[in-house]
This record gives sequence, C-alpha cells and structure tokens, in this order.
Amino acid sequence: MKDKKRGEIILSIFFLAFFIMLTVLSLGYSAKSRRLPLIVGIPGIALAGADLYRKTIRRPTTEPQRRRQTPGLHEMEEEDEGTGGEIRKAAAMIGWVALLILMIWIFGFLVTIPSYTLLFMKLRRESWVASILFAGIGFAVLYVLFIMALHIELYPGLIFKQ
Amino acid sequence: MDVLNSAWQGLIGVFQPGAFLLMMVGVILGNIVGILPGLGGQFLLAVLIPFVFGMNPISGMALLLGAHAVTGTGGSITSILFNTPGESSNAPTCFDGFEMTKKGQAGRAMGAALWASGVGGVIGAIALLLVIPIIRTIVLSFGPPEFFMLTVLGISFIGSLEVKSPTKGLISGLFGLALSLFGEDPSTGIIRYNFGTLYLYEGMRQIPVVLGLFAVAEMIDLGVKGSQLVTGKIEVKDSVWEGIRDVHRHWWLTLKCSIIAVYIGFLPGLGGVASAFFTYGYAQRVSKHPETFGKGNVEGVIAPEAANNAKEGGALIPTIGFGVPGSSGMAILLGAFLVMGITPGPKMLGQNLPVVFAMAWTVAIANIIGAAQTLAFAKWMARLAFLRSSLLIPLILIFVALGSFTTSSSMGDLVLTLIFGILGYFMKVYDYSKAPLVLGLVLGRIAEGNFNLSYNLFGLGFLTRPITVILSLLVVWALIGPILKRAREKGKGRAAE
Amino acid sequence: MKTRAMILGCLVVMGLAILVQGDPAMAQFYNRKTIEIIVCTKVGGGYDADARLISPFLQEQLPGSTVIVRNVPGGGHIVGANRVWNAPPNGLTLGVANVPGLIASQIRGDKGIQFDLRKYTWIGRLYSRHRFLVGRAKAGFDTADALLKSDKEFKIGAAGVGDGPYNTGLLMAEALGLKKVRMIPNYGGSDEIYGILRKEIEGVIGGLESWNELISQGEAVPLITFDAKRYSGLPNVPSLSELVKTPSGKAVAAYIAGESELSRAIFAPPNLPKDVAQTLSQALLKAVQVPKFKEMIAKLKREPFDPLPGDDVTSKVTAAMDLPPNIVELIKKVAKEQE
Repeated sequence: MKDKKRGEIILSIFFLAFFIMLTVLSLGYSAKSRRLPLIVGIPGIALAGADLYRKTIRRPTTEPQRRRQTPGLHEMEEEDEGTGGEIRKAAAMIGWVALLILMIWIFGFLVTIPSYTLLFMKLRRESWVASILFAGIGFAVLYVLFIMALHIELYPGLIFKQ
Repeated sequence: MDVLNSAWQGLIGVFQPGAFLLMMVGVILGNIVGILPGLGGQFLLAVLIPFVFGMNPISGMALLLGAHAVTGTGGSITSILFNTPGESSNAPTCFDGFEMTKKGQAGRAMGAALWASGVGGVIGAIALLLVIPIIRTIVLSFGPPEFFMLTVLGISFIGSLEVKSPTKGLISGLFGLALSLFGEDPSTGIIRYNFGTLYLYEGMRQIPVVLGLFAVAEMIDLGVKGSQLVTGKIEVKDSVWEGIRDVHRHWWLTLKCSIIAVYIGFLPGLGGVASAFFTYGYAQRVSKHPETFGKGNVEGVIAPEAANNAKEGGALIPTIGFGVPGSSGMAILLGAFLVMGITPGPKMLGQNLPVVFAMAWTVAIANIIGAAQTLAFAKWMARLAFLRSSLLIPLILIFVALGSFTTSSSMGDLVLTLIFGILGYFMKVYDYSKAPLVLGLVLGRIAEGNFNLSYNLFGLGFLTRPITVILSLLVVWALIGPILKRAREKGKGRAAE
Repeated sequence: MKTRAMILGCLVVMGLAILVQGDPAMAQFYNRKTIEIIVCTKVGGGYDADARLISPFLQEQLPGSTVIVRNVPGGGHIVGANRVWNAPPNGLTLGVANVPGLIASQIRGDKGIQFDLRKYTWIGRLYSRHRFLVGRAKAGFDTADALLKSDKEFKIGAAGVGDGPYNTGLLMAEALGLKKVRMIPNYGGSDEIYGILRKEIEGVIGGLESWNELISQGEAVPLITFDAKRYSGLPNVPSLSELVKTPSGKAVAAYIAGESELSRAIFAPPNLPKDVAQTLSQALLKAVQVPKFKEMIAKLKREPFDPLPGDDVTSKVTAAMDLPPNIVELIKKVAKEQE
C-alpha cells in the first residue's frame, strides 16, 4: 500500500514538474509561441498541484472516512503483501523492454529478434523446443516479409554497420 | 438517367475479371501491411505505384483503392487483440476493444469492428456520391475559424471521456496538448521544447507515443501479472456473429458515426485521426450507458471503426472533386491516377463519371471483401489473445519495435516508445485515462495552427462567423452536458432518499 | 615507318576506346549490391515521389543492383542529410533533400548540422524546379505589373515561418521593394489551395505541378517566375530578374534562381572515389533519358526532366554557398517571424 501510494505521488510529481517546465521554458519564446503553452501549462500546474496536495497533505484520518473515500481499499490492503513484488516485477519488465531496444541498437533487428525471443522465453521457463521454434519462426517471417517481399533494409546495428 | 447509367457502367467495370482480381490482391496486401503498426496505407501505396504504370485505369485503381480502403483493418485487429494500435486513428478502438478481449469477447469485438468498418466504408462511398453536386459549397464554407472550433469541439469531448476522475482526465488531456506543442511552431519558426535535439525538431511523433502508451504499457502489465491476457475459455465462433449482429443492433449509431466521419474526412485541415476520436466521444455522449465506455462496450468499438473507413470515402471527395488530396494517402493516389491517365478534378465529374462511380464502388466493395476476408480468420486470430505471456510479450514487443522503427529509421523512435511505455504503465496502474492524452496530442497543434491563422486573417472577428458560432454552441453542449447530467442524477438520487 | 605509324595509331585508338568505354570493372561493381536512396522526408511528398520514380530506372542502368528508397525525415531535412554525410563512401548511399533549404540552413548556421554542402559528392540533378508566384485570379493582381503598381495588401500563404516559400516571398518583396506583401504561415500541405479558393490569400509560391489545375480552371494566374529566364511554357510571365532594378535586388534574384536549379540535386557522402561517382552520375543521366521514363513523366503531366551531371551541380552548389555578406544577412533576417 505504501509503495503503491508512493508510486502515485511520484507520478503526480512528474506531471507537476512537467507543467512547471513547460511554463517556465515558454517564457523564453516569443509572445505568439508562448500563448498556448501558457494556456496549457498554468491550468496544468494548478490541477497537478491540487492533485498532489490531495494525495499528500490532506490525508483522510478516520477509518470509515478512509473506506468511503477510497473504494476497493480492502482489496488494496490485501494486495499489500504483493506490492513490493509488483514493483520489482514492473522494474524487471521495464528492463526487458529497454534490453530489446539496446540489443536492436547494437546488433540490429535480424540478430536481435531470434535471440531476444529465445532469451525471454527461456528465462520465463519455457522449454528449449518451444523457444527455439518460436525464435526460428520469428526470424523466418521477418526475413520473408521484410527482406524478400518488401525490400526494406532492416537496421543492421552498430556492430554490423560497415 | 445519365447518372444511373454511369453508376451501372462503373459497377460493371469493377467486376471485370482482371480488375476484380487486382482488387482482391490489393485487399490482401492492405490487410497484411495494415497489421504491422506504423506501416500505413501511404507506405503500401508508394510501394504499389510502380506496378500500376501502364495498367488501364480501372484495373490500376482497383488495386490501389482496394489496398488503401482496408489498411486500417489490420490495425483494428491488433488494437483489439493486443492493445496495439496500427495508427493513431486506431487508438479509440483500443479503449473498449481490448477490454472486450480481456473479458473473453475478442471474437465479438472483432466481428463488430470488422463489420462496422465494412458498413462504414460503404456508407462513406455512398455519401461521396450524394455529396458531389454540392461539394464545392460545403468544402469552401469551412475555413480556419471553423476548423479551430471543430478541434475545440473535439478537445471538449475530453471532459466527457473521463467519467471517474475529472482531475486526472484533465491532467492527461493537458499533458497531451502540451506534447503536441513540441517542435517547430509554424506561426513563428521557433522550435519549442526540443531540448537541443534534432529529433524533436518536428515535434512528438505520434506513432511511437501511441505504441508505447498502449502496446508496451500493456506488455509491461502482462509481464507483471504473469499469466495470460484472457483467463477462461469463451466460444469464439458464436462471438464473431454476435459482433456482426451488434452492428445491426446499433445501426443508427453506425450510420451517424459514418456520416460524421465522412464530413470530417473531406474537410481539409482536420486530420483523419480526429474522426475516430470524435465519433468515440460522440458515441459515449449519446449512449444510454456512458459509464461503461472504456470497460468493454461494443458501441465504443463500432463508432471509431465505422468512422475510420467512412472517412476514407470522405477523403476521396476533395481528391476527385477538386484534384486536391483529402489526406496524405490521397496525395499518393492522386499521383497514381495521373500516371494512369485519370485527371481528377471538376472536369472528371463532367466527362468521366463512370470512372468516378467505379472508384466509389471499388471502395465500397473492397471494404466488404476486406471485412469478410478478415472475419474468416477472426476465430483463428482471436486464439492469439489466449497465448501465454511468455510467448505473447516478445512477439508484441518485437512487432512494436519493427513498426516504430520502420517509419523513420530512427532509434529515437524506439526510445520514445520505451519512455511512453513506462509512463503508460504507471498511468494505467494509477487510473489516469489515456484517451484524453491522445486526443490532446492529436488535436493540439491543429487547434493552435488554425487559431493563429484565423486571427492572422480575420482578427478576433473570426469568432462571429455563422458556422463558427454554431460549432461553439456544440462545444458548450459537449462541456456542460455531462455536468448537467450528473447534477440531474444526483438530484434524482436525493429525491429517492 | 608506315607499320610503326599504324601500330601507334592502333594503340592510340585502342587507348581512346578504353577511355571512352570506361572501366569494365565498374560495370560489375554494382552487381548484387543494394543502393539506398535516403529521402529526407516522410513517405509521400515530392522528394519521395521523385526518388521512387527514378529508382527502378537507375537500377536498370546499374546491372545487378537493387535500388531502394529509405525515408529518414526530421529536423527540416537535416537528419537525413546528416545520415548521408556520415555514411561510408562506398557508392551505396545517395541522398535526396531540399538542397536549397539546406543551403539556407547552413548559411544561417542552424543547429544540428553535421555536414558541409560543399564537401558532399554531388551526383547530379534530376530537373530544375520552375517555381512561380501564383496569384488568385480576379483579386486585382492579374499581372506582375498590376502587383508592382498596386497599393492593396498582397497576402502570400506558406506552410511555416522560415520554410522555402516563406523565405522566397520575403526575399522577393525585398528585391522588388514591395511594401504590402504579408506572409501568412500555417497553410500546411495543400491547404494553400483552399486558401486561394476561399479567397483568404492572394498568392502562393510553388511549382506548376500543384497549380496547373487551378490555373486551367481560371482560379489562379501565374505572375512571376523565379527562374533566371522566362519559362518557355509561359512566355508572358516575366522573371524576377527582369523586374528588379537595384544591384542588391539582382543579387537576391540570382540567389532565388539558383535555388530552382538545385532543388532536385542528388548527393552522396564526401570523398567518394571518382570512378564510382562518375558511374553513378552517368547512370542517373541515362536513366532520365530512357524513353519509357520520359513517357511516364509526360503522362504525369510534368515537365520533361532537364538533368545535369555531378560536376555541374558541384559548381552550382559552391557558387550558391558563396554569397555577399548583405545577402547572407538578408537570408538570416527573413527566416524569422516578421512582427
């Protein structure tokens, strides 16, 4: 619960910071270019600020008040046990996505796609057969569709760029 | 009588064996390319054009229009099954379509989506023909002031999209509007918020943002939950028919949304993406159960799907009527028409009416065939949603990476997709609706540009133009309506106590 | 004596023959290789269309090769141009971009530029783009004379502040001493056509391919051509160079005319080996002359291409980059918002 609440506050802070940045930077632009950023930024600061205020400072005190204001609180408290795990899993998944992009950048699409598929599936406890099969199919589809049919050059990656 | 004769001739032309076959080929290609996010109709058209050199007009047109009419369809399928929009205009389909998949109703969602697309496309084609005599008057009475009001109307739907938490919805919407301001401001030449990079020079690219917000966020969520997208088994076969029947059950909605989309399609300057959002917002506003939108209401699938295909018929109107492309896809088509010896423009309506009808028929029929083709595979494709997460996640992520990268060959796009994937995930966890964000992103710039242009040309007096006034009244209705409704319901609730 | 002369003569002829035919090894160079034409815009614009039109014909001229088009949009064509700049000089990368725009960008010192236009290997140019000031018919500006004499405001539509037509419009106004020209940005894509039809603006700057239809319908009338000389298809339309009176005006007109020459110039990474550059240049020139290509261009109602070989383009680019300081100042000035 605490973790989840903390996460929500971080997101609120992100939005507030974003609108503040938007507004402050807009002051450096000419009058015409400043107009819409200010129309969006100032209410944005107000709303995000109010949202943050409600989540941090104005905390409900009594138990029935809490339950009324936060529907599903009971379920959320039951999830408490797993929330720490959830954050870890989310971080891991984000890591997986970042890894895909990193691999594409370095090794290019043709190498990354089968190897990433294999890696992901194996680490998620799939069998060798399934993993290799899917990796192979993925590679084949890619090759046929992009290279042979559409003649699209797939990014070769830093390593293979001549 | 001459008109009916031309209509008949056009129809016969489409069913010539050569032309018909080419249309089928076009439809198949359009479906395949449409499935990959990012690669859109424009890309396919550009690739097909060399093939139509030297073809006779009706055959070449059958191929191109056939392909173009259905590229949206593939994106609808991935939107419904995997929350992966093919283009920004597919985003509204994700809102309810994907929720339906999670409830085990993938087949129904696809049936509804595909059939609505087909029907919408046909209505679009018919509307095209009906409007031709008065096309000029209508198109020319909408100028920058009217476009500005239309975008404000679209943005005001944000208010009604987020029913649960208005504050979060507004924050999301303002965030989207803010993102649309990144990049070069055409009114001044100043480059805003590019943080010194060339990448953001031309602004936030919609496709990586939308792919990240929806598809990547969903995959992160799936990875965290660990199991399957859909739990439990549902009879897919019946579902697809159920979806088709839904379209007929809601035929009035389908018709209205198609017509709205056609008009937005042929008004230049608004962008086709707007029609999908407009109709979604409109469907929610007029629905008997607006609070179910975003949770798997089939109306939320029918509206944007009908709109997406109808608008293409709409975009053909200025292309044929003025020789001015109604959308970027049309610009390419125009080039192809010229190569085949067809010169679009008012003369065509006078001299070559059968060809115009043939085009309209092609669009209509291609839509139906495309829908039927895809429906045949719908049952098989719905099974994909039942795949284990360990299979689905790498598949979708790679899919998205390919789509995101292929449009501009830029690693920056992939990074953007990642960033918005992370944001989208946390927005999902903490109940910030994404619809307002995408709406703001899509319409923000168009609104600003049209405002500046209107002001530049007419001063503030532009607000007093007749159509502008009517539209501003609609804006008020869109904004106040939900508030009044809620107040009325609270009143009723109190009265009941 | 005679025999020696004959042998010498034969050797000379053989030598000449080899020189003229070119290196036979080059013919095989492109076998099984893929040439990438980097187009600095998204799919669908004029540059993209031209690249896709020429690519199959270029492929024919380079036996065994595959020529593909890759879109690398961004940064006002700078991203793609950078990509070509950084590509290896192996003859497998070509670039198509708004070269006049890049020239202006480089002159202004825009941020993010990694290239030096003078150092690219210029392969050739497809055609010179005839640009015109096109006016709305029956708005009181039916000839260039009328424009020069009139007191009424003349609004010219453009996509955005600082883009090609925007700058050209302001430069033209400077060169002619016109005070009542006002540039109206925010007419993106083909919106300016509607701007004319809805009578919001009085003029636009662009190529005939976009305006032929309206001109033939009597909705628009070409007023001034920006080429150095009058355009053969429109002999009654004066050129800007004719109309300017001052020396600086003439310099500006020459600069604008130079832009037309370079709009469809094709470039390759710097330091490309001479023989490769020559092969590409020859192939491009021949591709444009193929009868089937010419036929297609005619069907598209476009002007016949007037290509130029790489060397000619190189000298034009160098000339375009060497501008007198007052013109440089002017170019920097017009690209900003006019208050």
